[in-house]
Amino acid sequence: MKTESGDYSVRILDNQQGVVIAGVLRLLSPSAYEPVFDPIRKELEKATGNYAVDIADLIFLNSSGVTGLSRLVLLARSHSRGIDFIVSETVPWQKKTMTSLQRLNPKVTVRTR
Amino acid sequence: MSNVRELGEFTSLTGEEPIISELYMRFIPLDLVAHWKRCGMVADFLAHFLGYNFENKEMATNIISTVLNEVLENAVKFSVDKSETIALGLRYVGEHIEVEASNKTDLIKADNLAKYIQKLHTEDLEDLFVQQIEHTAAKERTASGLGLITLKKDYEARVGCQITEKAPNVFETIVRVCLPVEKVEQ
Amino acid sequence: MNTVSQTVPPGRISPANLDTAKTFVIRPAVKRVEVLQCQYFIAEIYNRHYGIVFSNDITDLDQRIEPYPDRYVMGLIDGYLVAAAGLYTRRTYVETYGNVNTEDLDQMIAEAGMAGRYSGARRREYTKLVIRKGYGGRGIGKFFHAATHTRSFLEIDAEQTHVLVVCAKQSIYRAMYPEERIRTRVIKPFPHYAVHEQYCSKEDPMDSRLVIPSIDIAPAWYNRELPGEFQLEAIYEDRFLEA
Repeated sequence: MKTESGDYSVRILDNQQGVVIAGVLRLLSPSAYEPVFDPIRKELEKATGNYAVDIADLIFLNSSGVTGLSRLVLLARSHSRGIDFIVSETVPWQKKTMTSLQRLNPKVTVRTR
Repeated sequence: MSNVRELGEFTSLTGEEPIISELYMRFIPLDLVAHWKRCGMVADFLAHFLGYNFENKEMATNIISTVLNEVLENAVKFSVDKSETIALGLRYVGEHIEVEASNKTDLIKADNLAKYIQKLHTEDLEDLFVQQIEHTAAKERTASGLGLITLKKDYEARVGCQITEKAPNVFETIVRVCLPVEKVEQ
Repeated sequence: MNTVSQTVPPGRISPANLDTAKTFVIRPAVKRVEVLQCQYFIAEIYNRHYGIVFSNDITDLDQRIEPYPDRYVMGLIDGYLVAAAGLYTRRTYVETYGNVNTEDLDQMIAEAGMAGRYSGARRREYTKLVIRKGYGGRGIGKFFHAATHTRSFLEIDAEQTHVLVVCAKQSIYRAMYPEERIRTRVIKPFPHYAVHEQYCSKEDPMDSRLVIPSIDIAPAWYNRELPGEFQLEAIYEDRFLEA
């Protein structure tokens, strides 16, 4: 299932494998991100293992968006599961911010694509 | 004489170091709220402008745009009267990039800013990051409160603010973020 | 970094010499620049009084972000915008936030015997009436409100008839909607939202109302064409005569 706006796309993979988020996400507030993250949350609830979140092609994410991602991390934590973040070496904020999210949930992993 | 407070690391390097590039812009917050993408547009434009000064233009532009966007979004969100102009400044001075934004706000928001800047300098940044996420996740909030923590934590930015009382319950705040060029060159 | 002061543009009438102005022009905003002027004007006043802002990309009442109206009408003194109002022509506020639906309106239209002529699905909403500070208290606001309840504005660019819906606090209906000029029919109370806390109260709540233009708006007002030029003196004296 793919959602696209002019600036970003969210592609949810089959069988709760994960999601690919790409483009630019700079929405107004954490609550403005609900329509983006709600479908992902629903999939995450159904997953049985770690859920992959590929943000390697997400060029910008503002701090309200980081809050949205962190809620996914907390949701996984509440199910004793983790998130596997797939990041890019060439997008400076990704590795730094996702590594910080590991502190929220020890089952979070971060690898480069 | 108005009451002026400076908190955190506010001192600018202007005056001590040569200015290589500088740009200043003023905005009406209503304009930015009307089309929120304008914030990102401004951040990208200024970052591309300054990006020419760097070896790895793409990387530098991404970092500078990230910093500018956070600072500008905050200035809009924390303006109380959104028809009052805010200002955004960008300087390449010596071996640093300075980004600053000013807006007018009320006593509660000015006090919250002061407390926040103080925390940035007294607490462990990774702990603060996690605390802020758990705090925002617990309640619906307008702003995440993560922007400046991330800039200080991930880019070794110096962050400070100046709060000036202009009138009863009217405060002008200037938030300044100063990044070492080597962090932008990466 | 200094803020820019918002002053009256040079050469324009300002409240101090309002007495020298003779005419009040009312016309729909047509050019893009006129639409932007109205948007900015409405946003400035709503933000200052109610802490509300407007956006073209997002609406979120919890964040105090409301949708911009789709069409605007302007009131000008010597070319200076002193009054404006909006019209929601696509999604109305009462349906998005007030739980008003097509069936509610169809039932009321049928009860009024107008089922053949109007449909609940074709509705527009009059909204966001604002008067510039310093220009109120002399009858300009009331006159502008009345004069903009005209087919020229309410049915602008429409190919079929529309009913009008309104959402306001009860004191506004009492002050601005005298029965003999604009009759309003209560649809239902408007739900409570934190964003409206500076606007209404428990003692003066909001409700959503319906106006069936051809029978509820006095023909003298509904049929008055815009653009129009009106003598300010007549407005002040409540005479409402055309120039």
